Amino acid sequence: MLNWKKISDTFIHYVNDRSEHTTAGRLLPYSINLLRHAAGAYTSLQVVFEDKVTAKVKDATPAFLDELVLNPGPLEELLAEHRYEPFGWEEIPVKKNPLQDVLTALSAAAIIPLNINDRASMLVLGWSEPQVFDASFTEAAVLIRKTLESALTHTSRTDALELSNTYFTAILEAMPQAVIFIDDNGRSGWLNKQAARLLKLPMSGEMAPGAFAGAMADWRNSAANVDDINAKAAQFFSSPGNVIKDWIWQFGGDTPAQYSVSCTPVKHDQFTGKLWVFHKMVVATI
Amino acid sequence: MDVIQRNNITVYGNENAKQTIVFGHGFGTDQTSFKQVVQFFGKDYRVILYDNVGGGKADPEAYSPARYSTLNGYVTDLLDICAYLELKDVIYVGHSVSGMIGLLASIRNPEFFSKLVFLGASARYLNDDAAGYVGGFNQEALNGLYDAMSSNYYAWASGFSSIVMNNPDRPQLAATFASTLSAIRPDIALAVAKVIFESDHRADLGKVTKPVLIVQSSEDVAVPASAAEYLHAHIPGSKLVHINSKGHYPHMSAPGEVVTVMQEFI
Repeated sequence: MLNWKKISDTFIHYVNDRSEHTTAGRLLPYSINLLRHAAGAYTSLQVVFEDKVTAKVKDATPAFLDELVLNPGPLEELLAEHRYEPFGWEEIPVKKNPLQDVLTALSAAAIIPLNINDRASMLVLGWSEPQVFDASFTEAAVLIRKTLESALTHTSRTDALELSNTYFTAILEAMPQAVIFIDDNGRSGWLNKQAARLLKLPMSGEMAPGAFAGAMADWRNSAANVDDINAKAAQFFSSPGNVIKDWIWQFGGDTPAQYSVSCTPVKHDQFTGKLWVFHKMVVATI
Repeated sequence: MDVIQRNNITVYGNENAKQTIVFGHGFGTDQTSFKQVVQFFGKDYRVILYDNVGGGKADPEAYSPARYSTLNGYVTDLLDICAYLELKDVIYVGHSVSGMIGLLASIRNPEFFSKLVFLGASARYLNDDAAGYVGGFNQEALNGLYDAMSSNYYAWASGFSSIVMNNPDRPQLAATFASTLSAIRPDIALAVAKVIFESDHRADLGKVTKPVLIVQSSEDVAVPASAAEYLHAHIPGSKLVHINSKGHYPHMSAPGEVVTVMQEFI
Protein backbone atom coordinates (compact mmCIF):
# COMPACT_ATOMS: atom_id res chain seq x y z
CA MET A 1 0.00 0.00 0.00
CA LEU A 2 1.33 3.40 -0.95
CA ASN A 3 2.45 5.79 1.79
CA TRP A 4 0.58 8.88 0.61
CA LYS A 5 1.90 11.04 3.46
CA LYS A 6 5.45 10.34 2.30
CA ILE A 7 4.49 10.90 -1.34
CA SER A 8 2.96 14.30 -0.62
CA ASP A 9 5.88 15.35 1.63
CA THR A 10 8.36 14.47 -1.13
CA PHE A 11 6.24 16.20 -3.76
CA ILE A 12 5.79 19.40 -1.76
CA HIS A 13 9.49 19.59 -0.89
CA TYR A 14 10.74 19.21 -4.46
CA VAL A 15 8.04 21.30 -6.15
CA ASN A 16 8.52 24.22 -3.76
CA ASP A 17 12.27 24.01 -4.23
CA ARG A 18 12.03 23.77 -8.03
CA SER A 19 9.44 26.57 -8.32
CA GLU A 20 12.09 29.07 -7.19
CA HIS A 21 14.27 28.36 -10.21
CA THR A 22 12.03 27.51 -13.13
CA THR A 23 9.17 28.62 -15.33
CA ALA A 24 5.56 27.46 -15.11
CA GLY A 25 5.99 25.76 -18.48
CA ARG A 26 8.73 23.58 -17.04
CA LEU A 27 7.40 23.20 -13.52
CA LEU A 28 4.23 21.35 -14.52
CA PRO A 29 5.88 18.53 -16.54
CA TYR A 30 8.49 18.22 -13.79
CA SER A 31 5.77 17.97 -11.12
CA ILE A 32 3.79 15.39 -13.07
CA ASN A 33 6.89 13.25 -13.56
CA LEU A 34 7.85 13.68 -9.92
CA LEU A 35 4.43 12.53 -8.77
CA ARG A 36 4.51 9.51 -11.07
CA HIS A 37 7.91 8.47 -9.71
CA ALA A 38 6.97 9.11 -6.09
CA ALA A 39 3.72 7.16 -6.42
CA GLY A 40 5.21 4.38 -8.55
CA ALA A 41 2.55 4.93 -11.21
CA TYR A 42 2.82 3.68 -14.79
CA THR A 43 0.87 6.51 -16.43
CA SER A 44 0.87 10.21 -15.58
CA LEU A 45 -0.59 13.08 -17.55
CA GLN A 46 -2.71 16.17 -17.36
CA VAL A 47 -5.92 16.77 -19.23
CA VAL A 48 -6.41 20.45 -20.02
CA PHE A 49 -9.84 21.90 -20.76
CA GLU A 50 -9.01 24.11 -23.73
CA ASP A 51 -12.47 25.14 -24.92
CA LYS A 52 -16.04 23.88 -24.83
CA VAL A 53 -15.30 21.05 -27.29
CA THR A 54 -11.66 20.33 -26.51
CA ALA A 55 -9.86 18.63 -23.66
CA LYS A 56 -6.26 17.74 -24.48
CA VAL A 57 -3.80 15.35 -22.97
CA LYS A 58 -0.44 16.97 -22.14
CA ASP A 59 2.84 15.97 -20.52
CA ALA A 60 1.92 12.32 -20.81
CA THR A 61 3.82 9.21 -19.90
CA PRO A 62 3.70 7.11 -22.00
CA ALA A 63 4.36 9.82 -24.59
CA PHE A 64 2.06 8.42 -27.28
CA LEU A 65 -0.89 9.69 -25.25
CA ASP A 66 0.26 13.30 -25.71
CA GLU A 67 -2.09 15.57 -27.67
CA LEU A 68 -4.93 13.06 -27.54
CA VAL A 69 -8.21 14.96 -27.83
CA LEU A 70 -10.98 14.04 -25.39
CA ASN A 71 -14.53 15.34 -25.15
CA PRO A 72 -14.69 17.80 -22.25
CA GLY A 73 -18.41 17.33 -21.47
CA PRO A 74 -18.18 13.82 -19.96
CA LEU A 75 -14.95 14.77 -18.15
CA GLU A 76 -16.64 17.77 -16.55
CA GLU A 77 -19.53 15.54 -15.47
CA LEU A 78 -17.03 13.15 -13.91
CA LEU A 79 -15.35 15.93 -11.94
CA ALA A 80 -18.71 17.39 -10.87
CA GLU A 81 -19.78 13.94 -9.69
CA HIS A 82 -16.80 14.03 -7.33
CA ARG A 83 -17.46 17.70 -6.40
CA TYR A 84 -14.17 18.69 -8.06
CA GLU A 85 -12.24 16.93 -5.28
CA PRO A 86 -9.44 14.39 -5.86
CA PHE A 87 -10.61 10.81 -6.11
CA GLY A 88 -9.24 7.36 -6.88
CA TRP A 89 -10.52 4.32 -8.73
CA GLU A 90 -9.47 1.08 -7.09
CA GLU A 91 -11.03 -0.53 -10.13
CA ILE A 92 -11.16 1.54 -13.31
CA PRO A 93 -14.73 1.66 -14.67
CA VAL A 94 -14.91 -0.08 -18.02
CA LYS A 95 -18.12 1.45 -19.31
CA LYS A 96 -18.84 5.13 -19.87
CA ASN A 97 -15.46 6.16 -18.59
CA PRO A 98 -14.32 9.36 -20.36
CA LEU A 99 -10.72 8.58 -19.35
CA GLN A 100 -10.83 5.06 -20.73
CA ASP A 101 -8.54 5.90 -23.67
CA VAL A 102 -5.74 7.03 -21.39
CA LEU A 103 -6.15 4.26 -18.83
CA THR A 104 -6.30 1.25 -21.14
CA ALA A 105 -5.15 -1.98 -19.50
CA LEU A 106 -4.50 -0.33 -16.13
CA SER A 107 -5.90 -1.46 -12.80
CA ALA A 108 -6.21 1.69 -10.70
CA ALA A 109 -6.19 5.44 -11.23
CA ALA A 110 -6.18 8.69 -9.27
CA ILE A 111 -7.59 11.96 -10.53
CA ILE A 112 -6.65 15.33 -9.05
CA PRO A 113 -8.60 18.33 -10.43
CA LEU A 114 -6.59 21.53 -10.82
CA ASN A 115 -7.39 25.15 -11.44
CA ILE A 116 -4.40 27.22 -12.47
CA ASN A 117 -4.93 30.83 -13.46
CA ASP A 118 -8.63 30.11 -14.13
CA ARG A 119 -7.82 27.26 -16.48
CA ALA A 120 -9.26 23.91 -15.42
CA SER A 121 -7.32 20.72 -15.84
CA MET A 122 -6.84 17.41 -14.10
CA LEU A 123 -3.86 15.28 -13.18
CA VAL A 124 -4.30 11.60 -13.92
CA LEU A 125 -2.16 8.82 -12.50
CA GLY A 126 -2.60 5.19 -13.53
CA TRP A 127 -1.20 1.98 -12.03
CA SER A 128 -0.91 -1.50 -13.45
CA GLU A 129 -1.23 -2.93 -9.93
CA PRO A 130 -4.28 -2.56 -7.68
CA GLN A 131 -4.17 0.41 -5.29
CA VAL A 132 -6.08 1.53 -2.21
CA PHE A 133 -7.36 5.09 -1.97
CA ASP A 134 -8.22 5.75 1.65
CA ALA A 135 -8.39 8.95 3.71
CA SER A 136 -4.60 9.31 3.59
CA PHE A 137 -4.81 9.52 -0.22
CA THR A 138 -7.48 12.22 -0.08
CA GLU A 139 -5.48 14.24 2.44
CA ALA A 140 -2.29 13.92 0.39
CA ALA A 141 -4.02 14.68 -2.92
CA VAL A 142 -5.52 17.88 -1.50
CA LEU A 143 -2.06 19.00 -0.35
CA ILE A 144 -0.54 18.06 -3.70
CA ARG A 145 -3.21 20.08 -5.50
CA LYS A 146 -2.74 23.14 -3.26
CA THR A 147 1.03 23.02 -3.64
CA LEU A 148 0.86 22.71 -7.38
CA GLU A 149 -1.78 25.40 -7.86
CA SER A 150 0.11 27.80 -5.64
CA ALA A 151 3.52 27.11 -7.23
CA LEU A 152 2.14 27.31 -10.76
CA THR A 153 0.19 30.49 -10.09
CA HIS A 154 3.34 32.07 -8.69
CA THR A 155 5.62 30.93 -11.51
CA SER A 156 2.99 31.83 -14.14
CA ARG A 157 2.94 35.40 -12.82
CA THR A 158 6.73 35.50 -12.92
CA ASP A 159 6.65 34.08 -16.46
CA ALA A 160 4.10 36.71 -17.49
CA LEU A 161 6.21 39.51 -16.02
CA GLU A 162 9.33 38.21 -17.74
CA LEU A 163 7.44 37.97 -21.01
CA SER A 164 6.14 41.53 -20.65
CA ASN A 165 9.65 42.70 -19.88
CA THR A 166 11.00 40.92 -22.97
CA TYR A 167 8.16 42.32 -25.06
CA PHE A 168 8.63 45.94 -24.05
CA THR A 169 12.41 45.72 -24.22
CA ALA A 170 12.15 44.37 -27.79
CA ILE A 171 9.80 47.22 -28.73
CA LEU A 172 12.06 49.91 -27.25
CA GLU A 173 15.15 48.35 -28.81
CA ALA A 174 13.42 48.30 -32.20
CA MET A 175 12.72 52.05 -32.10
CA PRO A 176 14.91 54.04 -34.49
CA GLN A 177 15.25 56.84 -31.91
CA ALA A 178 17.74 56.77 -29.08
CA VAL A 179 15.71 56.37 -25.86
CA ILE A 180 17.02 57.02 -22.35
CA PHE A 181 15.09 56.88 -19.10
CA ILE A 182 16.55 58.23 -15.87
CA ASP A 183 14.86 57.68 -12.52
CA ASP A 184 14.61 60.91 -10.47
CA ASN A 185 16.07 59.17 -7.42
CA GLY A 186 19.23 58.42 -9.40
CA ARG A 187 19.12 54.72 -8.65
CA SER A 188 17.96 53.34 -11.98
CA GLY A 189 18.14 54.09 -15.67
CA TRP A 190 17.45 52.39 -18.96
CA LEU A 191 18.68 53.02 -22.48
CA ASN A 192 18.19 51.29 -25.81
CA LYS A 193 20.97 50.20 -28.14
CA GLN A 194 20.61 53.31 -30.32
CA ALA A 195 21.28 55.42 -27.22
CA ALA A 196 24.17 53.16 -26.18
CA ARG A 197 25.70 53.63 -29.64
CA LEU A 198 25.29 57.41 -29.42
CA LEU A 199 26.94 57.54 -26.01
CA LYS A 200 29.61 54.99 -27.04
CA LEU A 201 28.55 52.59 -24.29
CA PRO A 202 29.23 48.86 -24.70
CA MET A 203 25.71 47.72 -23.81
CA SER A 204 22.07 48.78 -23.58
CA GLY A 205 19.41 47.88 -20.99
CA GLU A 206 18.95 48.75 -17.35
CA MET A 207 21.86 50.32 -15.49
CA ALA A 208 22.54 52.90 -12.81
CA PRO A 209 22.35 56.44 -14.21
CA GLY A 210 25.85 56.99 -12.84
CA ALA A 211 27.10 54.45 -15.37
CA PHE A 212 26.11 56.62 -18.30
CA ALA A 213 25.63 60.16 -16.89
CA GLY A 214 29.26 61.04 -17.68
CA ALA A 215 28.97 59.75 -21.25
CA MET A 216 25.78 61.73 -21.73
CA ALA A 217 27.40 64.91 -20.39
CA ASP A 218 30.45 64.37 -22.64
CA TRP A 219 28.28 63.89 -25.67
CA ARG A 220 26.17 66.96 -24.88
CA ASN A 221 29.28 69.06 -24.31
CA SER A 222 30.60 68.03 -27.71
CA ALA A 223 27.57 69.64 -29.37
CA ALA A 224 28.26 72.62 -31.64
CA ASN A 225 25.44 74.57 -29.94
CA VAL A 226 26.29 73.47 -26.38
CA ASP A 227 25.75 76.98 -25.01
CA ASP A 228 22.19 77.09 -26.37
CA ILE A 229 21.57 73.61 -25.01
CA ASN A 230 22.81 74.52 -21.55
CA ALA A 231 20.77 77.71 -21.50
CA LYS A 232 17.63 75.89 -22.45
CA ALA A 233 18.42 73.11 -19.96
CA ALA A 234 18.73 75.60 -17.12
CA GLN A 235 15.38 77.07 -18.06
CA PHE A 236 13.81 73.64 -18.46
CA PHE A 237 15.06 72.06 -15.27
CA SER A 238 13.96 75.02 -13.15
CA SER A 239 10.44 73.58 -13.38
CA PRO A 240 10.56 69.78 -12.94
CA GLY A 241 7.14 69.24 -14.52
CA ASN A 242 8.14 70.85 -17.82
CA VAL A 243 8.03 68.97 -21.09
CA ILE A 244 10.57 69.97 -23.65
CA LYS A 245 10.19 69.20 -27.36
CA ASP A 246 11.89 70.04 -30.65
CA TRP A 247 15.08 70.91 -28.84
CA ILE A 248 17.82 70.93 -31.47
CA TRP A 249 21.25 69.53 -30.64
CA GLN A 250 23.80 70.09 -33.39
CA PHE A 251 27.07 68.25 -33.80
CA GLY A 252 29.95 69.10 -36.13
CA GLY A 253 33.18 67.27 -36.79
CA ASP A 254 33.72 64.45 -39.29
CA THR A 255 30.15 63.22 -39.07
CA PRO A 256 27.92 66.23 -38.57
CA ALA A 257 24.50 65.43 -37.20
CA GLN A 258 21.48 67.13 -35.82
CA TYR A 259 19.04 65.71 -33.29
CA SER A 260 15.56 66.76 -32.31
CA VAL A 261 15.44 66.07 -28.58
CA SER A 262 12.49 65.68 -26.28
CA CYS A 263 12.48 65.23 -22.52
CA THR A 264 9.25 64.16 -20.84
CA PRO A 265 8.64 63.75 -17.11
CA VAL A 266 7.28 60.27 -16.25
CA LYS A 267 5.12 59.98 -13.14
CA HIS A 268 4.13 56.63 -11.71
CA ASP A 269 2.98 55.45 -8.29
CA GLN A 270 6.27 53.68 -7.74
CA PHE A 271 8.72 56.03 -9.43
CA THR A 272 9.23 59.30 -11.26
CA GLY A 273 11.82 60.10 -13.85
CA LYS A 274 12.55 61.60 -17.24
CA LEU A 275 12.30 60.04 -20.64
CA TRP A 276 14.75 61.38 -23.20
CA VAL A 277 14.22 60.71 -26.90
CA PHE A 278 16.82 61.67 -29.51
CA HIS A 279 15.57 61.69 -33.06
CA LYS A 280 18.27 62.06 -35.71
CA MET A 281 17.22 64.61 -38.31
CA VAL A 282 18.06 64.52 -41.98
CA VAL A 283 20.10 67.63 -42.67
CA ALA A 284 19.94 69.00 -46.17
CA THR A 285 23.37 69.72 -47.64
CA ILE A 286 23.95 72.19 -50.43
CA MET B 1 -23.05 17.08 -28.14
CA ASP B 2 -25.10 15.95 -31.12
CA VAL B 3 -22.75 13.73 -33.12
CA ILE B 4 -25.25 13.33 -35.97
CA GLN B 5 -25.50 17.07 -36.48
CA ARG B 6 -21.84 17.77 -35.83
CA ASN B 7 -20.67 15.38 -38.55
CA ASN B 8 -23.77 15.39 -40.75
CA ILE B 9 -23.95 11.61 -40.57
CA THR B 10 -25.83 9.74 -43.29
CA VAL B 11 -26.76 6.08 -42.95
CA TYR B 12 -27.27 4.34 -46.28
CA GLY B 13 -27.68 0.87 -47.72
CA ASN B 14 -28.82 -2.38 -46.15
CA GLU B 15 -29.79 -1.66 -42.55
CA ASN B 16 -29.90 -5.37 -41.74
CA ALA B 17 -26.46 -6.08 -43.12
CA LYS B 18 -24.00 -7.69 -40.71
CA GLN B 19 -21.13 -5.54 -41.91
CA THR B 20 -20.81 -1.76 -41.92
CA ILE B 21 -18.56 0.35 -44.11
CA VAL B 22 -17.67 3.85 -42.93
CA PHE B 23 -16.35 6.31 -45.49
CA GLY B 24 -14.20 9.27 -44.43
CA HIS B 25 -13.51 12.00 -46.97
CA GLY B 26 -10.35 13.98 -47.58
CA PHE B 27 -9.51 17.68 -47.46
CA GLY B 28 -11.69 19.90 -49.61
CA THR B 29 -14.34 17.31 -50.38
CA ASP B 30 -17.28 15.94 -48.40
CA GLN B 31 -19.27 12.72 -48.15
CA THR B 32 -20.80 13.28 -51.59
CA SER B 33 -17.39 12.50 -53.09
CA PHE B 34 -18.14 8.80 -52.40
CA LYS B 35 -21.56 8.75 -54.07
CA GLN B 36 -20.42 6.68 -57.03
CA VAL B 37 -18.60 4.17 -54.85
CA VAL B 38 -21.23 3.64 -52.15
CA GLN B 39 -23.95 2.62 -54.59
CA PHE B 40 -22.00 -0.59 -55.23
CA PHE B 41 -22.02 -1.50 -51.53
CA GLY B 42 -25.53 -0.46 -50.49
CA LYS B 43 -27.12 -3.85 -51.18
CA ASP B 44 -24.82 -5.91 -48.98
CA TYR B 45 -23.52 -3.43 -46.47
CA ARG B 46 -24.71 -0.77 -44.10
CA VAL B 47 -22.92 2.37 -45.23
CA ILE B 48 -22.07 5.31 -42.96
CA LEU B 49 -21.05 8.61 -44.49
CA TYR B 50 -20.06 11.72 -42.59
CA ASP B 51 -18.48 15.12 -43.08
CA ASN B 52 -15.34 16.15 -41.22
CA VAL B 53 -15.88 19.27 -39.12
CA GLY B 54 -14.87 22.31 -41.13
CA GLY B 55 -16.12 20.83 -44.42
CA GLY B 56 -19.29 19.74 -46.19
CA LYS B 57 -22.45 20.10 -44.16
CA ALA B 58 -20.79 19.46 -40.81
CA ASP B 59 -21.93 21.86 -38.08
CA PRO B 60 -19.91 25.03 -38.73
CA GLU B 61 -20.26 25.96 -35.04
CA ALA B 62 -18.43 22.78 -34.09
CA TYR B 63 -15.12 23.94 -35.55
CA SER B 64 -12.55 24.66 -32.85
CA PRO B 65 -8.95 25.61 -33.67
CA ALA B 66 -7.88 23.86 -30.46
CA ARG B 67 -9.71 20.57 -31.11
CA TYR B 68 -8.62 20.39 -34.73
CA SER B 69 -5.05 21.63 -34.29
CA THR B 70 -3.90 18.07 -34.99
CA LEU B 71 -5.58 15.03 -36.55
CA ASN B 72 -6.46 13.86 -33.04
CA GLY B 73 -9.62 15.99 -33.00
CA TYR B 74 -10.88 14.22 -36.14
CA VAL B 75 -9.88 10.87 -34.63
CA THR B 76 -12.01 11.59 -31.56
CA ASP B 77 -14.89 12.58 -33.86
CA LEU B 78 -14.64 9.27 -35.73
CA LEU B 79 -14.58 7.34 -32.46
CA ASP B 80 -17.58 9.37 -31.25
CA ILE B 81 -19.44 8.34 -34.43
CA CYS B 82 -18.57 4.67 -33.90
CA ALA B 83 -19.63 4.82 -30.24
CA TYR B 84 -22.83 6.75 -30.94
CA LEU B 85 -23.93 4.35 -33.68
CA GLU B 86 -22.73 1.37 -31.59
CA LEU B 87 -20.56 0.20 -34.47
CA LYS B 88 -18.18 -2.73 -34.19
CA ASP B 89 -15.73 -4.29 -36.60
CA VAL B 90 -16.43 -1.79 -39.37
CA ILE B 91 -14.56 -1.55 -42.63
CA TYR B 92 -13.20 1.96 -42.70
CA VAL B 93 -12.44 3.63 -46.01
CA GLY B 94 -10.42 6.81 -45.63
CA HIS B 95 -9.48 9.10 -48.48
CA SER B 96 -6.32 11.20 -48.19
CA VAL B 97 -6.09 12.65 -44.65
CA SER B 98 -8.91 10.39 -43.49
CA GLY B 99 -6.58 7.44 -44.09
CA MET B 100 -4.41 8.53 -41.16
CA ILE B 101 -7.51 9.50 -39.16
CA GLY B 102 -8.80 5.93 -39.56
CA LEU B 103 -5.39 4.50 -38.76
CA LEU B 104 -5.08 6.49 -35.53
CA ALA B 105 -8.67 5.69 -34.55
CA SER B 106 -8.05 1.97 -35.07
CA ILE B 107 -4.97 2.16 -32.84
CA ARG B 108 -6.91 3.97 -30.12
CA ASN B 109 -10.03 1.78 -30.23
CA PRO B 110 -9.29 -1.36 -32.24
CA GLU B 111 -12.65 -2.98 -31.43
CA PHE B 112 -14.48 -0.56 -33.68
CA PHE B 113 -12.57 -1.65 -36.78
CA SER B 114 -12.02 -4.85 -38.75
CA LYS B 115 -10.27 -3.59 -41.90
CA LEU B 116 -8.92 -0.31 -43.22
CA VAL B 117 -8.83 0.92 -46.81
CA PHE B 118 -6.67 3.95 -47.64
CA LEU B 119 -7.26 5.90 -50.85
CA GLY B 120 -4.40 8.27 -51.64
CA ALA B 121 -3.25 8.34 -48.03
CA SER B 122 0.08 9.59 -46.71
CA ALA B 123 1.84 9.42 -43.37
CA ARG B 124 3.69 12.67 -44.11
CA TYR B 125 3.35 15.13 -46.98
CA LEU B 126 6.55 17.03 -46.31
CA ASN B 127 9.81 15.56 -47.57
CA ASP B 128 12.24 14.49 -44.91
CA ASP B 129 15.60 14.71 -46.64
CA ALA B 130 17.55 13.52 -43.60
CA ALA B 131 15.52 10.31 -43.49
CA GLY B 132 15.40 9.94 -47.28
CA TYR B 133 11.61 10.21 -47.16
CA VAL B 134 9.78 11.67 -50.16
CA GLY B 135 6.36 12.98 -49.16
CA GLY B 136 5.95 15.12 -52.26
CA PHE B 137 6.32 18.64 -50.84
CA ASN B 138 9.17 20.73 -49.55
CA GLN B 139 8.62 23.54 -47.03
CA GLU B 140 9.00 26.20 -49.71
CA ALA B 141 6.21 24.63 -51.76
CA LEU B 142 3.96 24.44 -48.71
CA ASN B 143 4.67 28.06 -47.79
CA GLY B 144 3.76 29.01 -51.36
CA LEU B 145 0.55 27.02 -51.07
CA TYR B 146 -0.38 28.74 -47.78
CA ASP B 147 0.41 32.15 -49.30
CA ALA B 148 -1.77 31.42 -52.32
CA MET B 149 -4.61 30.25 -50.07
CA SER B 150 -4.29 33.39 -47.93
CA SER B 151 -4.09 35.91 -50.75
CA ASN B 152 -6.98 34.74 -52.94
CA TYR B 153 -8.64 31.62 -51.65
CA TYR B 154 -11.23 31.21 -54.39
CA ALA B 155 -8.72 31.59 -57.20
CA TRP B 156 -6.45 29.14 -55.40
CA ALA B 157 -9.33 26.65 -54.95
CA SER B 158 -10.08 26.73 -58.64
CA GLY B 159 -6.48 26.17 -59.70
CA PHE B 160 -5.70 23.61 -56.99
CA SER B 161 -8.74 21.46 -57.85
CA SER B 162 -7.66 21.09 -61.48
CA ILE B 163 -4.10 20.20 -60.51
CA VAL B 164 -4.90 17.56 -57.89
CA MET B 165 -7.87 16.07 -59.75
CA ASN B 166 -5.54 15.71 -62.72
CA ASN B 167 -8.22 14.63 -65.18
CA PRO B 168 -8.17 17.52 -67.67
CA ASP B 169 -10.30 15.59 -70.17
CA ARG B 170 -13.14 15.58 -67.60
CA PRO B 171 -13.23 19.15 -66.26
CA GLN B 172 -16.51 18.51 -64.42
CA LEU B 173 -14.55 16.46 -61.85
CA ALA B 174 -12.34 19.41 -60.97
CA ALA B 175 -15.38 21.69 -60.99
CA THR B 176 -17.18 19.43 -58.49
CA PHE B 177 -14.14 19.41 -56.22
CA ALA B 178 -13.70 23.17 -56.62
CA SER B 179 -17.29 23.73 -55.49
CA THR B 180 -16.85 21.80 -52.21
CA LEU B 181 -13.42 23.32 -51.66
CA SER B 182 -14.76 26.84 -52.19
CA ALA B 183 -17.61 26.17 -49.76
CA ILE B 184 -15.12 25.88 -46.88
CA ARG B 185 -14.51 29.02 -44.86
CA PRO B 186 -11.09 30.22 -46.10
CA ASP B 187 -9.57 30.64 -42.63
CA ILE B 188 -10.67 27.12 -41.67
CA ALA B 189 -9.39 25.72 -44.98
CA LEU B 190 -5.98 27.28 -44.36
CA ALA B 191 -5.82 25.99 -40.78
CA VAL B 192 -6.87 22.48 -41.85
CA ALA B 193 -4.41 22.47 -44.75
CA LYS B 194 -1.58 23.35 -42.35
CA VAL B 195 -2.62 20.60 -39.93
CA ILE B 196 -2.68 18.05 -42.75
CA PHE B 197 0.44 19.07 -44.62
CA GLU B 198 2.47 19.39 -41.45
CA SER B 199 1.30 16.12 -39.91
CA ASP B 200 3.72 13.26 -39.51
CA HIS B 201 2.37 9.87 -38.50
CA ARG B 202 5.20 7.68 -39.72
CA ALA B 203 5.85 6.53 -36.16
CA ASP B 204 2.24 5.31 -35.81
CA LEU B 205 2.20 3.04 -38.85
CA GLY B 206 3.69 0.05 -37.07
CA LYS B 207 1.02 0.14 -34.35
CA VAL B 208 -1.82 -0.90 -36.64
CA THR B 209 -3.21 -4.34 -35.90
CA LYS B 210 -5.88 -4.48 -38.62
CA PRO B 211 -5.55 -5.55 -42.27
CA VAL B 212 -4.87 -2.49 -44.43
CA LEU B 213 -5.39 -2.01 -48.17
CA ILE B 214 -3.48 0.92 -49.68
CA VAL B 215 -4.96 2.09 -52.98
CA GLN B 216 -2.73 4.35 -55.04
CA SER B 217 -3.42 6.21 -58.29
CA SER B 218 -0.83 7.30 -60.78
CA GLU B 219 0.20 10.95 -61.16
CA ASP B 220 -1.15 11.91 -57.75
CA VAL B 221 0.43 15.32 -57.06
CA ALA B 222 -0.64 15.26 -53.40
CA VAL B 223 0.62 11.77 -52.64
CA PRO B 224 3.45 10.39 -54.76
CA ALA B 225 3.93 6.64 -55.20
CA SER B 226 6.89 6.81 -52.79
CA ALA B 227 4.54 7.85 -49.95
CA ALA B 228 2.22 4.91 -50.66
CA GLU B 229 5.19 2.56 -50.80
CA TYR B 230 6.35 3.92 -47.45
CA LEU B 231 2.95 3.12 -45.94
CA HIS B 232 3.11 -0.38 -47.40
CA ALA B 233 6.63 -0.96 -46.09
CA HIS B 234 5.79 0.20 -42.56
CA ILE B 235 2.25 -1.08 -41.98
CA PRO B 236 2.57 -4.72 -41.01
CA GLY B 237 0.78 -7.05 -43.42
CA SER B 238 -0.60 -4.23 -45.57
CA LYS B 239 -1.46 -4.67 -49.23
CA LEU B 240 -0.61 -2.02 -51.84
CA VAL B 241 -2.55 -1.86 -55.07
CA HIS B 242 -1.75 0.58 -57.88
CA ILE B 243 -4.98 1.14 -59.78
CA ASN B 244 -5.60 2.42 -63.26
CA SER B 245 -6.58 5.99 -62.38
CA LYS B 246 -4.94 9.39 -62.43
CA GLY B 247 -4.94 12.08 -59.75
CA HIS B 248 -5.69 12.28 -56.06
CA TYR B 249 -9.41 11.40 -56.21
CA PRO B 250 -9.76 7.88 -57.64
CA HIS B 251 -13.15 7.37 -55.93
CA MET B 252 -14.44 10.28 -58.03
CA SER B 253 -12.47 9.78 -61.24
CA ALA B 254 -12.29 5.97 -61.38
CA PRO B 255 -14.92 4.61 -58.96
CA GLY B 256 -15.11 1.25 -60.74
CA GLU B 257 -11.40 0.63 -60.16
CA VAL B 258 -11.76 1.50 -56.48
CA VAL B 259 -14.81 -0.74 -56.04
CA THR B 260 -13.04 -3.69 -57.67
CA VAL B 261 -10.01 -3.58 -55.39
CA MET B 262 -12.21 -2.95 -52.36
CA GLN B 263 -14.43 -5.91 -53.11
CA GLU B 264 -11.40 -8.16 -53.44
CA PHE B 265 -10.09 -6.94 -50.11
CA ILE B 266 -13.23 -7.00 -48.01
